[in-house]
Amino acid sequence: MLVLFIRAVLLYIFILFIIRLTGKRQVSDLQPFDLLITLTIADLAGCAIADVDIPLLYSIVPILALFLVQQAVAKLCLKSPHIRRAFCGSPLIIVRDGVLMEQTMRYANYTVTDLMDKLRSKDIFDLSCVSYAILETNGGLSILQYDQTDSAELSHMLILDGKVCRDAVSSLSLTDADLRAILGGTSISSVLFMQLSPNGELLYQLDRRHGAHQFKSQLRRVSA
Amino acid sequence: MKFVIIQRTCTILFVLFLVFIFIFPSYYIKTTCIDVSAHIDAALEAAQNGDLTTAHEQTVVLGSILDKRVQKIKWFVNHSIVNEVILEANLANESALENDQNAVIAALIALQNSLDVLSEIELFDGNNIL
Repeated sequence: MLVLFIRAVLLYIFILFIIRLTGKRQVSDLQPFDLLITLTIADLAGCAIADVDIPLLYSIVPILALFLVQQAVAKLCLKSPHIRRAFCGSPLIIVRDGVLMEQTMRYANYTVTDLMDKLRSKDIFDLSCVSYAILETNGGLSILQYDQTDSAELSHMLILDGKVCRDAVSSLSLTDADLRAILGGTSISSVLFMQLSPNGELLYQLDRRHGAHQFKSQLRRVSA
Repeated sequence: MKFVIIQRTCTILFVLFLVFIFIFPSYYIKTTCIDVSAHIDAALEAAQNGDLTTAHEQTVVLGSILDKRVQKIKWFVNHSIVNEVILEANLANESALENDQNAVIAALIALQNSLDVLSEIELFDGNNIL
């Protein structure tokens, strides 16, 4: 049975790797590891149901192995953004300011036809209406249209789960000192999230250990 | 909160179940194979010396050991492999009753081979994992 358990874990890692390689187009509304569990559990259960020569434990043990690995992966994803990125990937901007990001689309195995399909399914028939389109980690497409907001710009997540989102912070030419100035005496690690809206408004919330209070303020820079 | 407690309790129970499942089947199969193999060796030695009465007694004993343990073994081994072991044991028993020395020896060797397959199923090694 230990052999079965190890085999299930090895196959979990292998299938997850393959699903991640196939790109977001294949995932369809599930995180990669959720999709993997859904596919494999169904197949494992089917084997034991159909063949009476196979002991039930041959299905139960691998399903339990997958369940435990799934729990461990989910916990690790909550704890570390790096692990979350490794397992789930990152959202990809495939339309920025109305311009198709061809290289990003190639990386995600996403064609213009796929994009148009998704836009039509969201009742958007004109590509020129799209300001931003983001391919989410679950394969879904989030769209920001020009007429939805005055600025037609995206909000930026500056801190997530107590960790600074380096890409967003550096793209806005902000520094850790700016963030600390905004937070006053509160440490960055105690912030659950901090979002910067296109109008310069900051919204942030402390984690539950620090009272889960939510604050709003305006962005001010201390760095030059 | 209640759901989290239930979820954690279930996870702990699953882990305990898995630990039991990792230890018990391999131990049970191993001891069964050792017990049966001892009687196969004795029966084989007797059959090769022409003592088919002793060989028959040994096949009866190993048959009764298998009868007692076969249902539990079927919980964690493919039924066709267990059925094959039972079939070989019955064949050895019948051949000993019929005083067919060559058939007894052949059936006992086949039984030992089937037992070897059975005992290797739960062996934790690279070949089984891959």
